[in-house]
Amino acid sequence: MNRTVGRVGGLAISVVAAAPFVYLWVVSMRGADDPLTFRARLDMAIWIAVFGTPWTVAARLLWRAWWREAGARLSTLDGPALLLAAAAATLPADRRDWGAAMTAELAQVQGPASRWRFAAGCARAAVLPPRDHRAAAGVAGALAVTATAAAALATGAALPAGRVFALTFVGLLGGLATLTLARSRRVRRAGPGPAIAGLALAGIAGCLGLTTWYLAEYPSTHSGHPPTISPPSRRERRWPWRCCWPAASG
Amino acid sequence: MTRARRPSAQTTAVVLALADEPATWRYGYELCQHLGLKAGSVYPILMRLADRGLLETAWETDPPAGRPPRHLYRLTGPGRALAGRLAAEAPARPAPARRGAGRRPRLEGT
Repeated sequence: MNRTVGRVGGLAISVVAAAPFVYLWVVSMRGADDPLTFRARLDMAIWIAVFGTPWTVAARLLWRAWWREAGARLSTLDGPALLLAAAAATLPADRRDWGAAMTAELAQVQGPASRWRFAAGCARAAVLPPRDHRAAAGVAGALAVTATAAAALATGAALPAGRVFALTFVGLLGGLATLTLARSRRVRRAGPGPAIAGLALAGIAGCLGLTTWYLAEYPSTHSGHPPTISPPSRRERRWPWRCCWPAASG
Repeated sequence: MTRARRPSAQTTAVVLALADEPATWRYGYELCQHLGLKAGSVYPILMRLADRGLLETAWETDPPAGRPPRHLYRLTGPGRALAGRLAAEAPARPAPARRGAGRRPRLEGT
């Protein structure tokens, strides 16, 4: 039974990991203005497979490692116990005893409804253990909401194509920062780690924002047509050096 | 430094329930049933009381076969003092009937 669940889970993980790349291939095929030849479709599929295979293999390997470590044991638990086990795993080190306490107490609760209620309550207590700096977490949450709204408004005006990305990226960052602050034992000045992570995230946002701007500014680069030479745009006439872009410019 | 605040009504109920029999170790689920509170309310209160030195905890030493040892709670000296202050401030209330008392737990370290 455990081996079957493990194999089915591994297959499901592989399908989920590969799904975005398959979707990308389908969208690319449908987005082409002219019908593509079989060779063009095959070329695109090979490129997507080259980029997608490492991710799919990595996801499968992670699943196998996790299943061998904890999955076989967890497969014997019912829904409430799985929920509580997952929540208890997120507890900080100084709260791990409480996770074990709540898990042991769940064994005393009888009846599916009672077990779900107990597990859900304990899971909430585990994900958001009590801390004495609620005000700081509240301020962080308010800032996260404000930053998300501001990002949506700013990109909506300047770069509409990047609005979904900006909204999601800033929203996720703000949510994670709020959750981290709510769960930390003390509000203290951070070491170099978060600063480095912040720089990395800023770099990622900058690259993605620049790519979005470039695709919006030069839409012919992603039209699917073979590169052609066309009259320079108004921007290119103002900045002649941009004509040095390879034939990708439209 | 923790700012002193008046305990919430739920915290007061938990403290007073533990103070009903201050020398007796209590289970978490038993407290939930006794007070009619959800686990999501009771356990954060217990965590906070333990953080502030008002609650002591222990693990069962002799659980039934096939079951993990349960966590047990009772008030410390400062916790009992707090219970006394809260009881003096609270209006008179009827003593709640204990449900599901079960067997007396056996503990480690007591």
